[in-house]
Amino acid sequence: MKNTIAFIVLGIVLGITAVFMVQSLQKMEATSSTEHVDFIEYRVEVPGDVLAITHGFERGIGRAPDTITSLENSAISNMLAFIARIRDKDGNLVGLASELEIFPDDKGVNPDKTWKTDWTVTTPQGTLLMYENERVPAAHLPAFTSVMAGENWTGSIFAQTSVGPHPSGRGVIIGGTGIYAGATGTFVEKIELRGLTTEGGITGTMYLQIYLDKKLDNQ
Amino acid sequence: MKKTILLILLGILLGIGGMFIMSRPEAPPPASQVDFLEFTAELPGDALSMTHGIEGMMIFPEGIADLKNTPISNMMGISTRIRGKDGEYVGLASELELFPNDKGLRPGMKWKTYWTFMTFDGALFVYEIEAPPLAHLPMLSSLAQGKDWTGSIPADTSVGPHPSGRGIIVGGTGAYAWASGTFVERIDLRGFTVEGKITGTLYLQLYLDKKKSAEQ
Repeated sequence: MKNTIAFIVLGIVLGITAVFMVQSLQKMEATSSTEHVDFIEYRVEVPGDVLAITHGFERGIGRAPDTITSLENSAISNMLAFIARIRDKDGNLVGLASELEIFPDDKGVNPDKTWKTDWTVTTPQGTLLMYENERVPAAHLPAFTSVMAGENWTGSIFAQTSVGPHPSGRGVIIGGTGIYAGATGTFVEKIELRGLTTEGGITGTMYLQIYLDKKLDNQ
Repeated sequence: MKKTILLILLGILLGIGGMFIMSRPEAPPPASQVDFLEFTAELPGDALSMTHGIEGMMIFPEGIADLKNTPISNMMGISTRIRGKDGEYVGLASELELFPNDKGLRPGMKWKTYWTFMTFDGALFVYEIEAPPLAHLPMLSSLAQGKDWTGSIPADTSVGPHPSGRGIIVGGTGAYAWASGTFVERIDLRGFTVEGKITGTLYLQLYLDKKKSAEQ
Protein backbone atom coordinates (compact mmCIF):
# COMPACT_ATOMS: atom_id res chain seq x y z
CA MET A 1 0.00 0.00 0.00
CA LYS A 2 2.80 2.38 0.98
CA ASN A 3 4.64 1.56 -2.25
CA THR A 4 1.53 2.26 -4.31
CA ILE A 5 1.13 5.73 -2.77
CA ALA A 6 4.85 6.45 -3.16
CA PHE A 7 4.72 5.52 -6.87
CA ILE A 8 1.64 7.68 -7.42
CA VAL A 9 3.35 10.66 -5.70
CA LEU A 10 6.49 10.06 -7.76
CA GLY A 11 4.38 9.94 -10.92
CA ILE A 12 2.68 13.23 -10.05
CA VAL A 13 6.04 14.91 -9.38
CA LEU A 14 7.47 13.60 -12.67
CA GLY A 15 4.36 14.70 -14.56
CA ILE A 16 4.48 18.24 -13.14
CA THR A 17 8.21 18.48 -13.86
CA ALA A 18 7.70 17.31 -17.46
CA VAL A 19 4.92 19.86 -18.06
CA PHE A 20 7.05 22.60 -16.52
CA MET A 21 10.04 21.71 -18.71
CA VAL A 22 7.95 21.60 -21.89
CA GLN A 23 6.33 24.96 -21.06
CA SER A 24 9.73 26.51 -20.32
CA LEU A 25 11.20 25.22 -23.57
CA GLN A 26 8.21 26.47 -25.56
CA LYS A 27 8.48 29.89 -23.91
CA MET A 28 12.24 30.11 -24.53
CA GLU A 29 11.74 29.19 -28.17
CA ALA A 30 8.94 31.70 -28.68
CA THR A 31 10.79 34.48 -26.87
CA SER A 32 14.01 34.02 -28.75
CA SER A 33 12.17 34.36 -32.06
CA THR A 34 11.08 37.92 -31.27
CA GLU A 35 13.36 40.47 -32.91
CA HIS A 36 14.05 43.84 -31.37
CA VAL A 37 16.18 46.91 -32.10
CA ASP A 38 16.59 48.44 -28.66
CA PHE A 39 16.34 47.11 -25.13
CA ILE A 40 15.74 48.75 -21.78
CA GLU A 41 15.33 47.25 -18.33
CA TYR A 42 13.81 48.64 -15.16
CA ARG A 43 13.87 46.99 -11.75
CA VAL A 44 11.84 47.18 -8.56
CA GLU A 45 13.24 45.90 -5.27
CA VAL A 46 10.41 44.36 -3.25
CA PRO A 47 9.41 45.39 -0.66
CA GLY A 48 11.84 48.37 -0.42
CA ASP A 49 10.78 50.20 -3.60
CA VAL A 50 7.06 49.53 -3.23
CA LEU A 51 5.19 52.69 -2.21
CA ALA A 52 1.59 51.44 -2.12
CA ILE A 53 -0.36 48.29 -2.91
CA THR A 54 -4.01 47.50 -2.32
CA HIS A 55 -6.69 45.13 -3.60
CA GLY A 56 -9.83 43.31 -2.48
CA PHE A 57 -8.41 39.80 -2.21
CA GLU A 58 -9.17 37.52 0.70
CA ARG A 59 -5.61 36.25 0.94
CA GLY A 60 -2.26 35.80 -0.81
CA ILE A 61 -0.85 39.31 -1.26
CA GLY A 62 -0.20 41.79 1.54
CA ARG A 63 -1.26 45.45 1.37
CA ALA A 64 1.17 48.31 2.00
CA PRO A 65 1.30 50.45 3.93
CA ASP A 66 -1.00 48.51 6.25
CA THR A 67 -3.16 51.62 6.73
CA ILE A 68 -4.17 51.70 3.05
CA THR A 69 -7.86 51.30 2.15
CA SER A 70 -8.82 47.79 1.04
CA LEU A 71 -11.02 47.17 -2.01
CA GLU A 72 -12.81 44.28 -0.29
CA ASN A 73 -16.62 44.18 -0.63
CA SER A 74 -16.67 46.73 -3.43
CA ALA A 75 -17.55 46.50 -7.13
CA ILE A 76 -13.82 46.46 -7.91
CA SER A 77 -12.72 43.87 -5.33
CA ASN A 78 -10.93 41.84 -8.04
CA MET A 79 -8.65 44.75 -8.95
CA LEU A 80 -5.18 45.63 -7.65
CA ALA A 81 -3.26 48.93 -7.62
CA PHE A 82 0.50 49.02 -7.13
CA ILE A 83 2.77 52.10 -7.11
CA ALA A 84 6.56 51.75 -6.94
CA ARG A 85 9.85 53.49 -7.49
CA ILE A 86 11.82 52.07 -10.41
CA ARG A 87 15.54 51.61 -10.91
CA ASP A 88 17.74 51.37 -13.97
CA LYS A 89 20.04 48.40 -14.59
CA ASP A 90 22.69 49.97 -12.33
CA GLY A 91 20.27 50.28 -9.41
CA ASN A 92 19.72 54.07 -9.61
CA LEU A 93 16.22 55.42 -8.87
CA VAL A 94 15.01 56.79 -12.21
CA GLY A 95 11.23 57.12 -11.97
CA LEU A 96 7.87 55.81 -10.85
CA ALA A 97 5.65 53.02 -12.09
CA SER A 98 2.08 51.92 -11.58
CA GLU A 99 0.77 48.41 -12.07
CA LEU A 100 -3.02 48.12 -12.33
CA GLU A 101 -4.42 44.59 -12.48
CA ILE A 102 -7.75 42.79 -12.99
CA PHE A 103 -8.08 39.25 -11.64
CA PRO A 104 -10.78 36.72 -12.53
CA ASP A 105 -12.19 37.00 -9.00
CA ASP A 106 -11.31 38.31 -5.53
CA LYS A 107 -10.14 34.99 -4.12
CA GLY A 108 -6.48 35.90 -4.56
CA VAL A 109 -3.77 34.66 -6.88
CA ASN A 110 -4.71 31.27 -8.35
CA PRO A 111 -1.90 29.32 -10.10
CA ASP A 112 -4.46 28.01 -12.63
CA LYS A 113 -5.72 31.41 -13.81
CA THR A 114 -4.28 34.33 -15.77
CA TRP A 115 -4.92 37.99 -15.04
CA LYS A 116 -4.61 41.29 -16.95
CA THR A 117 -1.98 43.89 -16.09
CA ASP A 118 -1.41 47.49 -17.22
CA TRP A 119 2.05 48.92 -16.46
CA THR A 120 2.79 52.63 -16.68
CA VAL A 121 6.48 53.54 -16.36
CA THR A 122 7.36 57.22 -15.97
CA THR A 123 10.86 58.70 -16.13
CA PRO A 124 11.95 62.29 -16.81
CA GLN A 125 12.72 61.20 -20.39
CA GLY A 126 9.26 59.81 -21.15
CA THR A 127 6.53 57.36 -20.25
CA LEU A 128 5.48 53.92 -21.48
CA LEU A 129 2.15 52.12 -21.17
CA MET A 130 2.38 48.34 -21.46
CA TYR A 131 -0.20 45.57 -21.27
CA GLU A 132 0.31 41.90 -20.43
CA ASN A 133 -1.44 38.74 -19.33
CA GLU A 134 0.19 37.20 -16.27
CA ARG A 135 0.22 33.83 -14.57
CA VAL A 136 2.03 32.31 -11.61
CA PRO A 137 5.10 30.61 -13.15
CA ALA A 138 5.32 26.87 -12.57
CA ALA A 139 8.78 27.47 -11.11
CA HIS A 140 7.21 29.52 -8.30
CA LEU A 141 4.77 26.77 -7.28
CA PRO A 142 6.98 25.40 -4.47
CA ALA A 143 6.82 28.81 -2.77
CA PHE A 144 3.02 28.95 -3.05
CA THR A 145 2.68 25.33 -1.90
CA SER A 146 4.78 26.10 1.17
CA VAL A 147 2.70 29.15 2.09
CA MET A 148 -0.57 27.25 1.54
CA ALA A 149 0.75 24.64 3.97
CA GLY A 150 1.21 27.44 6.52
CA GLU A 151 4.97 27.86 6.27
CA ASN A 152 6.95 30.90 5.16
CA TRP A 153 9.17 30.25 2.17
CA THR A 154 12.68 31.49 1.40
CA GLY A 155 14.90 30.62 -1.55
CA SER A 156 15.69 32.08 -4.95
CA ILE A 157 13.57 31.34 -8.02
CA PHE A 158 13.88 33.49 -11.11
CA ALA A 159 10.90 33.17 -13.47
CA GLN A 160 8.75 35.02 -15.99
CA THR A 161 5.16 35.94 -15.11
CA SER A 162 4.21 37.28 -18.57
CA VAL A 163 2.25 34.85 -20.76
CA GLY A 164 0.84 37.17 -23.43
CA PRO A 165 -1.02 38.61 -25.23
CA HIS A 166 1.83 38.59 -27.81
CA PRO A 167 2.16 35.15 -29.46
CA SER A 168 5.71 34.95 -28.05
CA GLY A 169 4.30 34.96 -24.54
CA ARG A 170 5.38 38.54 -23.91
CA GLY A 171 3.33 41.61 -23.06
CA VAL A 172 2.93 44.45 -25.58
CA ILE A 173 3.80 48.16 -25.63
CA ILE A 174 0.62 50.22 -26.04
CA GLY A 175 2.10 53.70 -26.37
CA GLY A 176 4.54 56.23 -25.06
CA THR A 177 5.54 59.85 -24.69
CA GLY A 178 8.86 61.75 -24.79
CA ILE A 179 11.65 59.48 -26.01
CA TYR A 180 9.07 56.68 -26.11
CA ALA A 181 6.61 58.53 -28.39
CA GLY A 182 5.44 56.12 -31.08
CA ALA A 183 7.13 53.19 -29.34
CA THR A 184 6.09 49.67 -30.28
CA GLY A 185 7.41 46.32 -29.19
CA THR A 186 7.09 43.75 -26.45
CA PHE A 187 8.07 43.35 -22.82
CA VAL A 188 8.58 40.71 -20.19
CA GLU A 189 7.95 40.85 -16.45
CA LYS A 190 10.23 38.59 -14.45
CA ILE A 191 10.61 38.17 -10.75
CA GLU A 192 13.39 36.72 -8.71
CA LEU A 193 11.35 35.48 -5.75
CA ARG A 194 13.41 35.22 -2.58
CA GLY A 195 10.73 35.10 0.09
CA LEU A 196 6.99 34.61 0.56
CA THR A 197 5.23 34.74 3.92
CA THR A 198 1.88 33.38 5.03
CA GLU A 199 0.76 37.02 5.51
CA GLY A 200 1.43 37.75 1.82
CA GLY A 201 4.78 39.48 2.27
CA ILE A 202 6.95 39.20 -0.84
CA THR A 203 10.73 39.64 -1.05
CA GLY A 204 12.44 39.74 -4.41
CA THR A 205 13.40 41.77 -7.46
CA MET A 206 10.98 42.55 -10.30
CA TYR A 207 12.42 43.07 -13.78
CA LEU A 208 10.63 44.87 -16.61
CA GLN A 209 12.53 44.00 -19.79
CA ILE A 210 11.36 46.12 -22.71
CA TYR A 211 12.12 45.15 -26.30
CA LEU A 212 11.62 48.12 -28.64
CA ASP A 213 11.04 47.80 -32.38
CA LYS A 214 13.04 50.97 -33.09
CA LYS A 215 16.00 52.79 -31.60
CA LEU A 216 15.43 55.41 -28.90
CA ASP A 217 16.66 58.86 -29.93
CA ASN A 218 17.82 60.39 -26.65
CA GLN A 219 18.75 57.69 -24.19
CA MET B 1 -6.92 107.10 2.27
CA LYS B 2 -9.70 104.49 2.49
CA LYS B 3 -10.87 105.42 -1.01
CA THR B 4 -7.34 104.95 -2.35
CA ILE B 5 -7.10 101.48 -0.80
CA LEU B 6 -10.53 100.54 -2.19
CA LEU B 7 -9.52 101.69 -5.67
CA ILE B 8 -6.29 99.68 -5.50
CA LEU B 9 -8.25 96.60 -4.37
CA LEU B 10 -10.73 97.13 -7.22
CA GLY B 11 -7.82 97.36 -9.66
CA ILE B 12 -6.31 94.13 -8.33
CA LEU B 13 -9.65 92.34 -8.70
CA LEU B 14 -10.11 93.64 -12.25
CA GLY B 15 -6.56 92.62 -13.13
CA ILE B 16 -7.02 89.09 -11.78
CA GLY B 17 -10.42 88.80 -13.47
CA GLY B 18 -9.01 90.01 -16.80
CA MET B 19 -6.11 87.58 -16.65
CA PHE B 20 -8.48 84.75 -15.82
CA ILE B 21 -10.75 85.53 -18.79
CA MET B 22 -7.84 85.95 -21.21
CA SER B 23 -6.10 82.77 -20.09
CA ARG B 24 -9.11 80.48 -20.48
CA PRO B 25 -8.28 77.85 -23.06
CA GLU B 26 -10.01 78.36 -26.39
CA ALA B 27 -12.96 76.07 -27.01
CA PRO B 28 -11.73 72.85 -28.62
CA PRO B 29 -13.18 71.91 -31.99
CA PRO B 30 -16.18 69.69 -31.15
CA ALA B 31 -16.25 68.14 -34.64
CA SER B 32 -13.48 65.66 -33.76
CA GLN B 33 -15.42 64.23 -30.83
CA VAL B 34 -17.29 61.01 -31.56
CA ASP B 35 -17.64 59.56 -28.09
CA PHE B 36 -17.38 60.99 -24.59
CA LEU B 37 -16.41 59.29 -21.38
CA GLU B 38 -16.22 60.77 -17.91
CA PHE B 39 -14.77 59.32 -14.75
CA THR B 40 -14.96 61.05 -11.39
CA ALA B 41 -13.07 60.68 -8.13
CA GLU B 42 -14.20 62.13 -4.81
CA LEU B 43 -11.33 63.58 -2.80
CA PRO B 44 -10.13 62.57 -0.37
CA GLY B 45 -12.48 59.55 -0.06
CA ASP B 46 -11.70 57.70 -3.31
CA ALA B 47 -7.96 58.32 -3.29
CA LEU B 48 -5.93 55.28 -2.17
CA SER B 49 -2.38 56.61 -2.00
CA MET B 50 -0.33 59.69 -2.79
CA THR B 51 3.37 60.29 -2.34
CA HIS B 52 6.05 62.65 -3.65
CA GLY B 53 9.04 64.69 -2.49
CA ILE B 54 7.36 68.07 -2.86
CA GLU B 55 7.06 70.71 -0.15
CA GLY B 56 3.63 71.78 1.11
CA MET B 57 1.54 68.82 -0.04
CA MET B 58 0.46 65.91 2.10
CA ILE B 59 1.21 62.24 1.53
CA PHE B 60 -1.07 59.34 2.52
CA PRO B 61 -1.93 56.81 3.83
CA GLU B 62 0.00 57.00 7.09
CA GLY B 63 3.25 55.11 6.79
CA ILE B 64 3.78 55.59 3.05
CA ALA B 65 7.39 56.43 2.08
CA ASP B 66 7.99 59.90 0.69
CA LEU B 67 10.37 60.74 -2.15
CA LYS B 68 12.24 63.60 -0.40
CA ASN B 69 16.02 63.71 -0.83
CA THR B 70 15.96 61.21 -3.70
CA PRO B 71 16.77 61.70 -7.40
CA ILE B 72 12.98 61.55 -8.05
CA SER B 73 11.89 64.09 -5.40
CA ASN B 74 10.08 66.12 -8.11
CA MET B 75 7.80 63.20 -8.99
CA MET B 76 4.40 62.26 -7.59
CA GLY B 77 2.54 58.93 -7.61
CA ILE B 78 -1.20 58.70 -6.93
CA SER B 79 -3.60 55.74 -7.01
CA THR B 80 -7.36 56.17 -6.80
CA ARG B 81 -10.68 54.48 -7.37
CA ILE B 82 -12.70 55.96 -10.22
CA ARG B 83 -16.47 56.21 -10.64
CA GLY B 84 -18.77 56.06 -13.66
CA LYS B 85 -21.49 58.55 -14.54
CA ASP B 86 -23.87 57.03 -12.02
CA GLY B 87 -21.34 57.34 -9.21
CA GLU B 88 -20.55 53.62 -9.00
CA TYR B 89 -16.98 52.35 -8.83
CA VAL B 90 -15.86 51.24 -12.30
CA GLY B 91 -12.11 50.89 -11.95
CA LEU B 92 -8.77 52.16 -10.74
CA ALA B 93 -6.49 54.92 -11.96
CA SER B 94 -2.91 55.97 -11.45
CA GLU B 95 -1.64 59.52 -11.88
CA LEU B 96 2.14 59.86 -12.24
CA GLU B 97 3.44 63.41 -12.33
CA LEU B 98 6.72 65.12 -13.09
CA PHE B 99 7.19 68.63 -11.64
CA PRO B 100 9.90 71.15 -12.64
CA ASN B 101 11.33 70.89 -9.10
CA ASP B 102 10.34 69.83 -5.56
CA LYS B 103 9.55 73.31 -4.24
CA GLY B 104 5.76 73.02 -4.39
CA LEU B 105 2.86 74.52 -6.33
CA ARG B 106 3.01 78.15 -7.40
CA PRO B 107 1.09 80.27 -9.94
CA GLY B 108 2.50 80.05 -13.45
CA MET B 109 4.20 76.68 -13.07
CA LYS B 110 3.44 73.74 -15.39
CA TRP B 111 4.01 70.05 -14.93
CA LYS B 112 3.58 66.78 -16.85
CA THR B 113 0.91 64.26 -15.87
CA TYR B 114 0.32 60.68 -17.01
CA TRP B 115 -3.05 59.10 -16.23
CA THR B 116 -3.83 55.42 -16.63
CA PHE B 117 -7.48 54.42 -16.27
CA MET B 118 -8.24 50.71 -15.88
CA THR B 119 -11.84 49.53 -16.17
CA PHE B 120 -13.49 46.18 -16.88
CA ASP B 121 -13.83 47.29 -20.54
CA GLY B 122 -10.16 48.15 -21.01
CA ALA B 123 -7.49 50.68 -20.14
CA LEU B 124 -6.77 54.21 -21.39
CA PHE B 125 -3.48 56.08 -21.18
CA VAL B 126 -3.52 59.88 -21.19
CA TYR B 127 -0.81 62.56 -21.17
CA GLU B 128 -1.45 66.16 -20.20
CA ILE B 129 0.37 69.30 -19.15
CA GLU B 130 -1.17 70.88 -16.06
CA ALA B 131 -1.04 74.31 -14.45
CA PRO B 132 -2.79 75.82 -11.41
CA PRO B 133 -5.91 77.53 -12.83
CA LEU B 134 -6.15 81.27 -12.22
CA ALA B 135 -9.58 80.63 -10.72
CA HIS B 136 -7.77 78.82 -7.89
CA LEU B 137 -5.68 81.91 -7.00
CA PRO B 138 -7.86 82.78 -3.98
CA MET B 139 -7.06 79.34 -2.58
CA LEU B 140 -3.30 79.76 -3.17
CA SER B 141 -3.48 83.25 -1.66
CA SER B 142 -5.23 81.90 1.45
CA LEU B 143 -2.64 79.17 1.89
CA ALA B 144 0.18 81.71 1.45
CA GLN B 145 -1.29 83.54 4.45
CA GLY B 146 -1.28 80.33 6.47
CA LYS B 147 -5.05 79.87 6.38
CA ASP B 148 -7.08 76.82 5.33
CA TRP B 149 -9.35 77.54 2.38
CA THR B 150 -12.94 76.38 1.78
CA GLY B 151 -15.32 77.31 -1.03
CA SER B 152 -16.27 75.88 -4.42
CA ILE B 153 -14.23 76.62 -7.54
CA PRO B 154 -14.61 74.32 -10.56
CA ALA B 155 -11.72 74.82 -12.98
CA ASP B 156 -9.67 72.96 -15.59
CA THR B 157 -6.08 72.13 -14.72
CA SER B 158 -5.24 70.83 -18.23
CA VAL B 159 -3.35 73.30 -20.44
CA GLY B 160 -1.93 71.02 -23.15
CA PRO B 161 -0.14 69.57 -25.02
CA HIS B 162 -3.05 69.63 -27.54
CA PRO B 163 -3.41 73.10 -29.16
CA SER B 164 -6.92 73.30 -27.67
CA GLY B 165 -5.43 73.27 -24.18
CA ARG B 166 -6.48 69.69 -23.57
CA GLY B 167 -4.39 66.63 -22.81
CA ILE B 168 -4.11 63.79 -25.35
CA ILE B 169 -5.07 60.11 -25.35
CA VAL B 170 -1.89 58.14 -26.10
CA GLY B 171 -3.38 54.65 -26.32
CA GLY B 172 -5.62 52.03 -24.89
CA THR B 173 -6.44 48.34 -24.53
CA GLY B 174 -9.57 46.19 -24.75
CA ALA B 175 -12.57 48.21 -25.90
CA TYR B 176 -10.26 51.24 -26.05
CA ALA B 177 -7.55 49.67 -28.21
CA TRP B 178 -6.28 52.22 -30.76
CA ALA B 179 -8.15 55.00 -28.92
CA SER B 180 -7.20 58.57 -29.75
CA GLY B 181 -8.60 61.93 -28.80
CA THR B 182 -8.25 64.57 -26.13
CA PHE B 183 -8.68 64.85 -22.39
CA VAL B 184 -9.60 67.41 -19.75
CA GLU B 185 -8.92 67.22 -16.02
CA ARG B 186 -11.31 69.41 -14.07
CA ILE B 187 -11.51 69.81 -10.33
CA ASP B 188 -14.32 71.27 -8.26
CA LEU B 189 -12.11 72.39 -5.41
CA ARG B 190 -13.98 72.73 -2.15
CA GLY B 191 -11.19 72.77 0.40
CA PHE B 192 -7.42 72.99 0.75
CA THR B 193 -5.67 72.98 4.10
CA VAL B 194 -2.24 74.36 4.96
CA GLU B 195 -1.21 70.73 5.53
CA GLY B 196 -2.05 70.06 1.88
CA LYS B 197 -5.28 68.10 2.34
CA ILE B 198 -7.58 68.53 -0.68
CA THR B 199 -11.37 68.22 -0.70
CA GLY B 200 -13.26 68.21 -3.99
CA THR B 201 -14.38 66.23 -7.01
CA LEU B 202 -12.10 65.33 -9.90
CA TYR B 203 -13.70 65.11 -13.36
CA LEU B 204 -11.65 63.16 -15.90
CA GLN B 205 -13.22 63.84 -19.29
CA LEU B 206 -12.19 61.84 -22.35
CA TYR B 207 -13.18 63.01 -25.84
CA LEU B 208 -12.70 60.01 -28.11
CA ASP B 209 -12.17 60.35 -31.88
CA LYS B 210 -14.02 57.10 -32.56
CA LYS B 211 -16.70 54.97 -30.97
CA LYS B 212 -15.72 52.50 -28.25
CA SER B 213 -15.15 49.02 -29.71
CA ALA B 214 -17.32 46.09 -28.68
CA GLU B 215 -14.20 43.91 -28.52
CA GLN B 216 -12.55 43.41 -25.16
